[in-house]
Amino acid sequence: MTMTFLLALSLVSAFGILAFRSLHLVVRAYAAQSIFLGLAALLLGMSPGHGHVLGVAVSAILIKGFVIPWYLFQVMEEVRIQREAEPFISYPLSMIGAVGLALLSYAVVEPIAVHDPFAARGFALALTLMQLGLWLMVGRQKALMQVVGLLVVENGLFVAALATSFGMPMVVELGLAFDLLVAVVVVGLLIFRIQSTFSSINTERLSRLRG
Amino acid sequence: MPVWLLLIAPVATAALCWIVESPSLITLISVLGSVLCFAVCGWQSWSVLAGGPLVGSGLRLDALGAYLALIISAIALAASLASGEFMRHEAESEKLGPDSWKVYYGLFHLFVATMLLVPIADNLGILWVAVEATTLSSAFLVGFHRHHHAVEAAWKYVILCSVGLAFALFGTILLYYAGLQAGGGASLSWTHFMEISARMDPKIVKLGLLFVVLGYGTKAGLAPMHTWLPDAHSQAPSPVSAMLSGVLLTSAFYALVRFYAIAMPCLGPAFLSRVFLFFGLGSLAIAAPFILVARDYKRLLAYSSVEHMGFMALGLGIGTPLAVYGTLLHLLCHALAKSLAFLSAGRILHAFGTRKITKVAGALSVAPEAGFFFLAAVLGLCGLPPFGIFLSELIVLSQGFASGRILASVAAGALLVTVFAGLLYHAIGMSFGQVRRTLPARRPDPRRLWEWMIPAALLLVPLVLLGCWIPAALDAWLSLMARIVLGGSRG
Repeated sequence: MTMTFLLALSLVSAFGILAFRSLHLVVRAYAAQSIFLGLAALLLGMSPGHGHVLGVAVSAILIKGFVIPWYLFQVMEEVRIQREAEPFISYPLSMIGAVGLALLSYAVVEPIAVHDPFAARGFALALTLMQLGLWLMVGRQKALMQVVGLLVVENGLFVAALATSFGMPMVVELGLAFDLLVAVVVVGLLIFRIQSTFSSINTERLSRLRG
Repeated sequence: MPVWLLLIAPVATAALCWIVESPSLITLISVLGSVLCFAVCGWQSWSVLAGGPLVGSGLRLDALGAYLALIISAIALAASLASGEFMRHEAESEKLGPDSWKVYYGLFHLFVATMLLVPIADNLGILWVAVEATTLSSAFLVGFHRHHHAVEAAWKYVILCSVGLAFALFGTILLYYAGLQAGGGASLSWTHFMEISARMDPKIVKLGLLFVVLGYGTKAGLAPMHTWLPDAHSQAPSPVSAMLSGVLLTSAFYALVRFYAIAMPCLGPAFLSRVFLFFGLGSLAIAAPFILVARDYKRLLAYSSVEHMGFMALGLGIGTPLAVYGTLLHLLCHALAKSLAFLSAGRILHAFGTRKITKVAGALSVAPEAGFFFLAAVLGLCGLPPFGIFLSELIVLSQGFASGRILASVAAGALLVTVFAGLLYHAIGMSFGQVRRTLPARRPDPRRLWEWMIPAALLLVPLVLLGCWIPAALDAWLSLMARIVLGGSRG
């Protein structure tokens, strides 16, 4: 019951990320989403036979709930941006599209694992979050929003791993977390470089390479 | 012999390049490290072929992996030799600081190390981590020139490949779940999947495989997910372009081959053939017009990579043992020819100071050492005899006809002819004719010519030999790999 509630909250935060204009609120909504998912994993870890999930859950809450949002705030401070300017896809249209994508994910995934409702719902939510992340990336101008989109996609993967009760070997989970951290640092450094070469971090300026 | 021995040379070289201060010493360390890495890969491949797969601490090197490891280390050796002239040129024209050598060579060997982790990972999760790590370690190599085109290319490269790979991981998790359902315990090991594949739920595997093909297909440059590729390949320093096209795409394609082998016993050939023929023909069809109208010769070569990766997907789609044999031969020949083409394109770029095809003419007389190899590599990429690509394309296409896929084979043949015409037209225009513009004064140091001739010969000689004659050992190796891919052998 609590698990379902937490997973529902993570979906609500995803819609929040799509709806907010202020980048500070967007990053906070992402942090909230990561913490809800981390708590859901913690809940799973407390049930018997899933002890190894506790480590994954705690590191997820720390890294994605606190370290990455803190780093993103640093980046925002450095390049002095506050708000999404004019998105490529307007806000109402973006919300309608997001609802459509969510329904599509459930329609695609639920039929294939009917005998295991926990996994079916988990994979459907995972695919929803991944599609919403992708939707965010195609719809927004600011480079920072594309990073948040990528992070939402990654949270979708976290839900998918949750749906399989985190049976994956620990070394894989650690490798994933490490890759995520490095990826965020790399794109952060690239944002600085975009800022210093283009004097803007709008990705619409990144369109000179064609043909 | 432990499998991780393979990683020692590139990791140690990367660390040394980071510590040492003097540029000339870094260049020397880089070359020695690459030679050592190549020697270790050769030695391990030999022991795999002689005594079966090497297994240990979650890693596993079988005949298929050894083939990829050998390609990676050979191309890395050639690219690291050719990097010397590139860095000297950049140091003069872009006024690089001494730190640039550290960053370039350190990241270069780290990139090699992450790529070498791909063939030895026995675990699909580690395989994913390794492929993602190749993106991250090469991001700043792509953006090495700090001007805005390079930054734009690096941004697109990181963002698109990371998103693509996220979907590949989702597919991997779905396959893992199907494995759990089939019983036999929790494991992501490739050998484990090969054992239980026939018992997995086909519906879940089908969905998982589609995500995997989308994900690793993005990294392998299959259309329509290829949009990062021309930007990254054209903006990266030429030795890095050679690595991206010759090895990075090859590694991602290797991941696809592994998943193809897992899905085959579960789904049967019909579904897989439809998926791979779709992406293969799609890539050929999208690359062909861009090759015809190309204006920048590094982008021309990049689109040719899309075309060749598409052709290899087509080979998997045809899926007979001999077609898989031809596909794997094509993998090697394409890696050799494309890295030679990018390395010589880099020297042409230095000699003419422009990437525009129309502004380059008479490359054979202006920079004969680069022009000759560029022309040879492009003729090879066109699929002309006596180059190896001619043979591999012939094998795959004839298998297409023999297995009754007449329509797909005719379409592929027609697209290959289009690409042939486009490449040949551009290459002839660049190689012959009157020089029309004033050229940059700087010429490469003739005493350092061996730094270019050795890697160029290392790439061209096997490419020509393979077109005339397949040694018995390589023939046995390719047949063994085809059996591994089609489920008849574990290595």
